[in-house]
Amino acid sequence: MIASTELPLSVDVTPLHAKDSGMAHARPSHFYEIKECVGKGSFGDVYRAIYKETGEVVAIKIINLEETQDDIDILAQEIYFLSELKASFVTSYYKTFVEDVSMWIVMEFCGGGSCADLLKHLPEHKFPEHKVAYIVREVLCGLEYLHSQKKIHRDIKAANILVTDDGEVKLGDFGVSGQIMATLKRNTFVGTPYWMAPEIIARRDNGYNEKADIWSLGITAIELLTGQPPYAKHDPIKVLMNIPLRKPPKLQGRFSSTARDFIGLCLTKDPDSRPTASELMGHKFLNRTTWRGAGSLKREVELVKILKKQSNYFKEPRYAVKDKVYATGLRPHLQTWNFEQTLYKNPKPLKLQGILELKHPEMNSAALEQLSPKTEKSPISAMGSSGEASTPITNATSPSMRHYHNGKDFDISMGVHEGKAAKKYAQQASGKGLNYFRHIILYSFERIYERARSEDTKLVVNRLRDLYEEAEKSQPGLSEAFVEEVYIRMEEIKNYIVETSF
Amino acid sequence: MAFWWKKTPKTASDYARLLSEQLNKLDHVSTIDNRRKIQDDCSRYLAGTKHFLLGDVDPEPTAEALDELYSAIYQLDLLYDLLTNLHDLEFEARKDVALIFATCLRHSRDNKFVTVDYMVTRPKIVSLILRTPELALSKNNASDLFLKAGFIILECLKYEQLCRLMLRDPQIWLFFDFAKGGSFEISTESFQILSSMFSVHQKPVATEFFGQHANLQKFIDKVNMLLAHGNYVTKRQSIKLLHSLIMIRAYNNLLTSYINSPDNLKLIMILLSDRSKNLQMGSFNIFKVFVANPRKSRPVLDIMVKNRDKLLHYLKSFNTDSKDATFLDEREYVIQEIESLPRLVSPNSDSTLEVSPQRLH
Repeated sequence: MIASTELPLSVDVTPLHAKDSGMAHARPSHFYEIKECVGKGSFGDVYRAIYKETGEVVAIKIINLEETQDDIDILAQEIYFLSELKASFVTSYYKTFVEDVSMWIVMEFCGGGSCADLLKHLPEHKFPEHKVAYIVREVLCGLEYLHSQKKIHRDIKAANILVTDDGEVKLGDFGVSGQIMATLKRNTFVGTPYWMAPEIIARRDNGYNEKADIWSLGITAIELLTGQPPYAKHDPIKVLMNIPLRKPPKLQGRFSSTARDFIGLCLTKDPDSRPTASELMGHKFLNRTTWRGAGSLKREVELVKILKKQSNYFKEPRYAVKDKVYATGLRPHLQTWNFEQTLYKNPKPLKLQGILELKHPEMNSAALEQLSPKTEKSPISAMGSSGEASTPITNATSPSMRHYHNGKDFDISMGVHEGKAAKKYAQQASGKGLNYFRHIILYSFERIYERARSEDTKLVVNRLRDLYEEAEKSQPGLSEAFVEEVYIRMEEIKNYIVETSF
Repeated sequence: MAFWWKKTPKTASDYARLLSEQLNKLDHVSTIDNRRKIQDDCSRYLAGTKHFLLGDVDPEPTAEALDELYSAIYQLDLLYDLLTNLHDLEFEARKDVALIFATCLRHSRDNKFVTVDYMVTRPKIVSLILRTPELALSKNNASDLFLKAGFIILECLKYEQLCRLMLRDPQIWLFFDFAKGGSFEISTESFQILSSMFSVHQKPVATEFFGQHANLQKFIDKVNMLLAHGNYVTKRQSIKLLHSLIMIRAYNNLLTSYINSPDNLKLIMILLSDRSKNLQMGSFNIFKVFVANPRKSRPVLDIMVKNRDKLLHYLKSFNTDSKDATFLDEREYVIQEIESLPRLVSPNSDSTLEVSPQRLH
């Protein structure tokens, strides 16, 4: 591959899955098939995934927002940062979704892993000079692009230099990048000790600028040539304290003078005299990349793939994707509240549809007077009209929201009123499927059991239920007759109340 | 077609002039090739204008040259034209537009923000700025366009005069809808806009905005809509927004209205028992204000009394692993307050059963 040293023309080719076409509300798991975990980034686990519609392979970084300490606003800033980068030597960002309590960041997939992966698996654990020259040049292209946008990467190291299946090099993991303009943030401490520029550690008053990336690139070059950054065997905290005090590290061993010179320039202690990315672009060391032969890491990538397969290598994600906070079928809330009015008289239930599905069954006229004019205008009832019944909140006050301690005694699912089950229940209730004993009598007993204040009462309720069950068994149909009679009687009473109250 | 001076503008204001010309051509361009060419020109002149404004040219532009450039920008109505054509510009050019806006807004002479003063006299620009995110939604790169437009709004909101103009525009209500329905970027950006809009310049917000009852009520309705219907991120963001605003002393009437409505309390209680720990904590921070209110409205008190035991039961096991001393104190306080509420006596008090929590089917 021939890498252009010029900034690429911006291409507005949006991959199909990145289009904004109504997918905002959709759950990403419907569109992407998550494969194996390919890395643990600074924020969350990264997976290989397949966009089902086209079969395109992508990388998805999943950040569990319940667990991460980071503020959503900060994460959003990182996303905006990513979305502003479009260049062939920077991993492309496609889209972000929210699924359950996680953020799914869909990115370009780099099948070769990172340069650190390659270092780890290659038999010699280092790269020859001309390959390093190639990697460094590509990274410089990326840095030139970033720096021209007044952006700093802040964490340049082999682990953040990604490689595609074709062996092309791309700058990745912008998890901690900060824009130069955001001065406040610039005073934050980000990066990995061994690769950190002295001015970042010294935290001089004026903060630091894009030159910090150049220092880290020098350290990365040493890492790629020798297999590890300088002082890798030392305690990171000690290294951290020593970097500003000591002379810059040097490339040790039998290497060409151009390589030494290049690294020496990158590791200039004073950031002001350290060259810029554009200035380094013309360095002789980079000419070691013979135009075609060394211009890719394809062979390394293929070799490492085979080696990984042989050793059955895999990465363990930090969080399981399956762990859901709002798993379907479970109650979305931990506790239910009593929001109804207590005094019944008026037979006409006030219909409050919408988020709360407030059950205002029947109330006296005073209560009605107090409530109805307000509720008409209330935000909660007003929202009902938009027909958003599918949100989790809607289920919040559904009848099954109470605690049933010994639910196993009862074979009726407590989820009957939620989602599909609710429909099923309604169908059963309206058609032949209705079992008067199970769906009404047993159900009511469960509720009475729950309302019982003392163990004593609970015991009585259980005994009554058992007796009832016995009765139903010996006299099938008893429940139906009983329910019918109660229902008719209730209707009569209700009608009576209507007549007398108007 | 190209004249010699087209490629090499001589002065800084030439860039603005040429840019303005090309932008006006974009509207009535017929062929794709022509359009591409005009877009390229726009990108180039935009980059040139940006470099001048930022002083990124060699030699650095003189103060006179810059002044000339700024007056050209105002005279040509360039900011307006940039906005109307934002969607037609290339990716990098759009970034330049956002940067040019920010730089222009920051431009000051004799302790005056010149561009801000100019924009106050051209309300159509401010109005278009607020409408641009909505217009972006129908375009191809909606998220990217929205972010650029959002960035410009956020920059404007730094200046009180512009913030006051925006507060008067009904367009701002739409950002609640974008916060709920948009992609991750659109939603989070809308929250940042709402947050800046209502918390940066508190005095005009308190007097000119929340001073009107209709605004107050609509604001509460909109926030509640997000709290109730948003996805997880929207709920977290909206609870944070609500909390930060009701805690602002100047917005006392917002606080009082909010904590006196039983519907709001219901919503917050539902979120208090949400499965998400973050949402629980967020809503606890609002719930405690309901509880701490010395003059609770009757319906609010009723709900608390009715749920006294449930609340106690819930709060006693609420976030027990927390080591945050402030939180633990607050929880203790809330528990004490609720314990001091009267116990509910059911209508037939001799009954051993609790009042049915649900209506008859």
